[in-house]
Amino acid sequence: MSDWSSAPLSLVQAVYAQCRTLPDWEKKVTDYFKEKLQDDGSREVPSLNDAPLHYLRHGELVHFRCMIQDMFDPEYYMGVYETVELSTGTRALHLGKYRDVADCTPQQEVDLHSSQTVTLERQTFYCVPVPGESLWVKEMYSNSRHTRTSPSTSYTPNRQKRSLEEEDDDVTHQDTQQAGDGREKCKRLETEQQWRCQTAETPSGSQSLDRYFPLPGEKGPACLVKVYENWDGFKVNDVLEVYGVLCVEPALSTLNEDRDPMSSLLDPADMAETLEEQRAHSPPTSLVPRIHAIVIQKLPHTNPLIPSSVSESEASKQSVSSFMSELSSVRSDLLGFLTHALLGDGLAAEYLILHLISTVYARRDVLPLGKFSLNLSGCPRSCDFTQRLYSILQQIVTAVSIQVLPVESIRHKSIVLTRFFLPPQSHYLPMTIDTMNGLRFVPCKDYSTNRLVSGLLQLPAHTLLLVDETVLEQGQLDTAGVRNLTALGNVITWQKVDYDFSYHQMEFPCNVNVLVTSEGRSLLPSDCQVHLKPQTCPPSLEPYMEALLSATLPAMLNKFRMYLSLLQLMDYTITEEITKAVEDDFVDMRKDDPQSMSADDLHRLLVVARLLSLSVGQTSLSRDGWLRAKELETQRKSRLQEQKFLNGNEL
Amino acid sequence: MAQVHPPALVGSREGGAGSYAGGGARARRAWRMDYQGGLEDQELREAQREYLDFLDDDQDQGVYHGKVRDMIGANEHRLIVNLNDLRRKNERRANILLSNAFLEVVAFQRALKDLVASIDATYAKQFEEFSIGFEGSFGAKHVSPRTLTAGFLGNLVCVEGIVTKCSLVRPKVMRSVHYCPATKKTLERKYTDLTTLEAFPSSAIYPTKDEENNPLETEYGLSTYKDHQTVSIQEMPERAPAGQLPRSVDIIADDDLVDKCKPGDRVQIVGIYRCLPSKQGGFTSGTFRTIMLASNIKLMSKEIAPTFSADDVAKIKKFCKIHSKDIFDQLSKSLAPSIHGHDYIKKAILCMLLGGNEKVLENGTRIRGDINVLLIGDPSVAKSQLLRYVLHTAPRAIPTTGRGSSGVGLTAAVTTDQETGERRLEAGAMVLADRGVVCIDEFDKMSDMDRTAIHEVMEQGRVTIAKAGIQARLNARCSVLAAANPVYGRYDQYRTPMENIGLQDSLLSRFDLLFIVLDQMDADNDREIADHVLRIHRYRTPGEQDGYAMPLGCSVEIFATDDPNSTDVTDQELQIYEKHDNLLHGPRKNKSKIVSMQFIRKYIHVAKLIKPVLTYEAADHISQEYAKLRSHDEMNNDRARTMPVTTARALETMIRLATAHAKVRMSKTIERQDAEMALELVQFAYFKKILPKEKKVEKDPDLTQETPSQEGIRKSSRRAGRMPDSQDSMDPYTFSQDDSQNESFTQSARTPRKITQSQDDLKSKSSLSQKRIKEFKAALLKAFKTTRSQSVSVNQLLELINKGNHDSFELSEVKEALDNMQNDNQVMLADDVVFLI
Repeated sequence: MSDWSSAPLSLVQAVYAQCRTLPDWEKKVTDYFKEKLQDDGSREVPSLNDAPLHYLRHGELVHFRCMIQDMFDPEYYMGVYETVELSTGTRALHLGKYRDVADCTPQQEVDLHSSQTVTLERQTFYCVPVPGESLWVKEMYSNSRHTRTSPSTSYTPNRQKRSLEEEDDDVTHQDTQQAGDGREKCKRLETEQQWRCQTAETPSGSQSLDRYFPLPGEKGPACLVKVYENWDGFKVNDVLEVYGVLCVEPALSTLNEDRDPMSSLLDPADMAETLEEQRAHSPPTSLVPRIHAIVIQKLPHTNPLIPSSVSESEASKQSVSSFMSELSSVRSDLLGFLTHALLGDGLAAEYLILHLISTVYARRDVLPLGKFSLNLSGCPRSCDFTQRLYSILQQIVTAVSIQVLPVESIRHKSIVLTRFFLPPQSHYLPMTIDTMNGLRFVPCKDYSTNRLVSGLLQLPAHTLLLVDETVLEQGQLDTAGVRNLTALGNVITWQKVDYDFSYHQMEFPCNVNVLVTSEGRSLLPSDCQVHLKPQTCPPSLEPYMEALLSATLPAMLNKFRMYLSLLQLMDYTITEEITKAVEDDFVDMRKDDPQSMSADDLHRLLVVARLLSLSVGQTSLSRDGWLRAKELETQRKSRLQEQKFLNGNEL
Repeated sequence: MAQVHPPALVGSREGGAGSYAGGGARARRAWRMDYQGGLEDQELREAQREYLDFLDDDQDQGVYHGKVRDMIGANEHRLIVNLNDLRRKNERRANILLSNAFLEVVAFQRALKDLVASIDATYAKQFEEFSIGFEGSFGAKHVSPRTLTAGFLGNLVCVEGIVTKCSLVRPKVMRSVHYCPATKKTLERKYTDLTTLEAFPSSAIYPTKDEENNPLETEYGLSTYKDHQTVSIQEMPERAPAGQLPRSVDIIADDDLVDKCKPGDRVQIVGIYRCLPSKQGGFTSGTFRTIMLASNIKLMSKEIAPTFSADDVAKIKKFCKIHSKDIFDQLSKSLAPSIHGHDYIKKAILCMLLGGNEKVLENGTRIRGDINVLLIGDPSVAKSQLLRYVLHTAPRAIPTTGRGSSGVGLTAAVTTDQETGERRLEAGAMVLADRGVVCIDEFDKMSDMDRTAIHEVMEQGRVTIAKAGIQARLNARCSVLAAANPVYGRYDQYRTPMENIGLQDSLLSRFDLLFIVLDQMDADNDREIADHVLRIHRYRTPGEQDGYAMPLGCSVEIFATDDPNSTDVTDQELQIYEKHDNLLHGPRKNKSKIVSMQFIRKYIHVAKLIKPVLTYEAADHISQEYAKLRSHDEMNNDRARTMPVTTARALETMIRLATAHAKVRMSKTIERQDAEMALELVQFAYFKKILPKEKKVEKDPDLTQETPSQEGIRKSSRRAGRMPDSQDSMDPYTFSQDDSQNESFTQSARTPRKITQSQDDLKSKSSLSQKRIKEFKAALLKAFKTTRSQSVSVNQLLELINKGNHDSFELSEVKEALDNMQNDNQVMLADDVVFLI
């Protein structure tokens, strides 16, 4: 392992010692690392996403792919400080950047009143692994780096989590004992763990340390990322790629726990910061390590198959353009794939593609443009159709989160865990008022700890939220339930989440595709409702879906994945002539049947046309595309009409 | 409030503070801004003299002399000094005070003590020290928690925010007295730490033993203590940049400042910003904590004022002058530019945002100034979007839905704490929206309980709670903007508006304006809608990445630069107009520009301050029109009312709307044009055409027995009450044409267009005057009476009418008149036979 990645701090110190008189020496450092990380260099760096924490060394350069969950107040630190050797009195200057604790041996003392001291400012982000990230994304990313942890395969990130959680239960050292054990034991422990979680009174798991994951049952390490420059450019819920110095200094976690409460009162600094706040802001480094970011960038998407920025290098450009040439064939394959998944319903599959590639591309006033939430009604209730669909979708989209409406979603832990096979039905909890109350959808600020407590709806852009309404049972929703439902409705309609700051609310824009599966029309709003018409009815869904997945080649799956991610990033225009034509068309349609053609319908039609054109790789609307969109909508509407007619009572 | 701690606690507390503070004082020197070493006593004395000079203004105006006397009289020890006064008298000192606050404040306080001693020596001895709080303009040092950067350390700053957390109030030892039983000596210690102003914290450790290791007893009665509290304030939501979480700052409040604010308050805190090294356990983390030592806490009003620069106000005034003719249209059009049409509703919303004048009479009755608006209409006519827009424009707006407001509901509720069993009063949406707007979506789906509760709130502006032993009155002076769907899901054209709305009369009458928003069919209109929707779809935010959207209304308002050295306040320049984007707004037709929301917001804020008074002319006009409306009530025709009955509330409504319009014009008086505009709105909102049923002609004739005299009045009043149906027509007086056009579109083919036109011609012609028709109708009735039948042939009728009539009717005249009456469904003409209906 090269020096720059194993001991970056000494390198930084060396650069500092060499040219600290130059004004832009800091830039030199970041440039140096950026250059090293180019090409294959980044593969050398171990990633916190897939390597267990205790495999990583303190002070080592690590990589972390994460989402900003909370932003702390800026922090002042000693950028440069001076130490004095107690015995000899020799002085030395040190760099305080990229470290938490001033480096000084017992024989030394930090001279706090040295005139050389420079105070600087940095910002801390609390970061969690990308919520709902699909397993294939995780795997593909981890395969792309050959880290030294890769041989010991039994160390999956999942296991890491358990060891962390049970640290309080004095089972910390099980890790080492079980390192050689097979998958069997893991499995058993896993189930045990689940069971324990379910039976626990507070499902949020606050009995130990809340790690503020948006989705319950998420895995992976949370991390405090300290950012040294341009932190104003980052927003909450941004997905980041961080290269930085890992800090697992145990001293940081000893904190005030051992200090007697009396003495903490007299400290003016501690008076302001309560114990809870301390706990929340500086959790033990063994649970929440610190990363001092050297190179940090926002990720526009989290698809490992596509270079992080499309115009990065010639080679990647080429691969993208070559992919574009076979776009139509991929599309038809995907259509076939999804048609199978939707039990042979081609129209629904068509709409599902449109839904999957939709994204909010702009906002006009309060109106989010480009969103296309879908309601698949008529889903079979008896068999867990939605779960199967979820497992399929998980294979092709980068981030997905399932939401089984009123049912406790602690189960999702297991859903994320298993690759295709979801837990049997018995894992469902019945809908009770408790479960509805227990779930937090909207993130809220906890002032006693001064932290933003995450909620289910704190999701990064381009996440697919699958809401399963088929399992909804009759019952009474209470205040929290109604609030949750309203929040979900707001996400669908406005693509905004109102974070709860107790004295006021603050709107945060989001970009989440919401897919609702329901029996009848959903109680949630949606842009478009498609009634599912199963053509085939396999006796058992499980083998059917399994067969579908196994029949699809991994290469094909990769193409699907690329297709969905790429199309979300594409640009689109409507030309002047076609605008005119559409306008005329609209007026004519209004003349013929004013009831079925309102401004809203035009709105939807334009979105459908946009997505439809994009789905075949056209970046501007053509006459053909417009007609096809109209045709598709007519088909959908007639099907809905039919359904209404059948049901009679549904109006 | 202050909690007295057991002795052990106080003792051990001071033990650590001394040693800790010592390190802190040294660390502070690292800050260049901070106090530099031991400043010479001479300088300090010089400063003290200058401050005393400033305070002792007995020869001058005696302002501060008076203030100090007041302070003594009130038995306080904090003097509030306005920085502007100091700046006027000694600008150099004021600047030094702002940048090197610690020492200067100490000097200032000493000067104050000197002054107090010279006025009342005994009073001065009562207090250890006198404190000084500051107010006035801080310029670049007026910051929010986000803009409070390291450069402000050691400075006197003013921070604005919402209080989110207040710690318990604890006593802090200032001076302790110890007695040694062995040596019979007493010992006194003073304590200062980093949270006090003194440059050098006392190094003393709380003594428990004297030099000879004799145990000491603390004399608690002789020791002095000071209240101490920490408060956290958080950036205000409207100031936080989009997508960023709000930041917070910790404040330390001592003495008389404790418990000045409670969580949820919006406050301005003036104080000194300082940092403390955080030394944890046995190692140095190299990080610092920052706190602010408060010297003055000011509660801010609930009204959220946008920050104004002088330039802004000038711009607003200029804008008002330039557009004196069409300012109302200009502004209303710019509301919710993404929603097409609905001009009248936008006007109403503009009026609502400005509001009328509230009056509280001597007997305690309140006449509300808030304007309430209800939108009823088909699904998908952008009602919710309008609501959403108002949420973003109004300075204080609370969204809620009829369905979703469970639990606390709209007004207020008494809840019981699950754990402690304590009862709590929880405010609902309308209470939270006090002095603002509450936007209620799905108004029709509201529970009956809420609906009853809302009655009181909407008229009286307050909520009365008498439940579970709690009696309370909460202010809820808010405007209501509600949206509802019609009873039958879609608006039924063939029913009266009242039937469609399906809410109680009592509730409806509390709405000033009620709009029926319909999906209108009209080729031109459709084209414009299509054009509008398409433009939205072609729109791309310039320079923005995919999926990165800037949310509305969260623009950053930095009111101080990051660099404290530059003194100019860089309030972003206020853009009056939105940047014109051809793609977005279409080709620039009729030179209408969209006014930016930022500007509207500020404009509304300024305009709201004006309290116009009613002129006689306007009052006359309103009362006349009110009388007309009242008389219109007794009539019944195809323009049914949306409001139950015209009550005195309608009169108030007109006054309120006229007031709001006058505010838009920034006029101090309500003139006739305001009254006219108000009336236009009222008439638009009050009347709604019902399409006649297909076979209404053949209805039982007994049902519509009308005397000809009434007929005449109706005709005339109909003219007055007639308003255009189509919402995009700009001139309300071009009604006849508009109407006929609309009728031809919406009405079925029952009435051939020809007749409508001829009817219009008739109306315009003076030949068949109202008087003539009246005469004709009287004659007609007489004729029917004489024949005692339901039907008469036209020829026979002509004979009968002209019998004994000196001014005889021509056949053509009769035909026209009959046509006319047929249109009004009074007679039916078939094969030259007239049937009376």
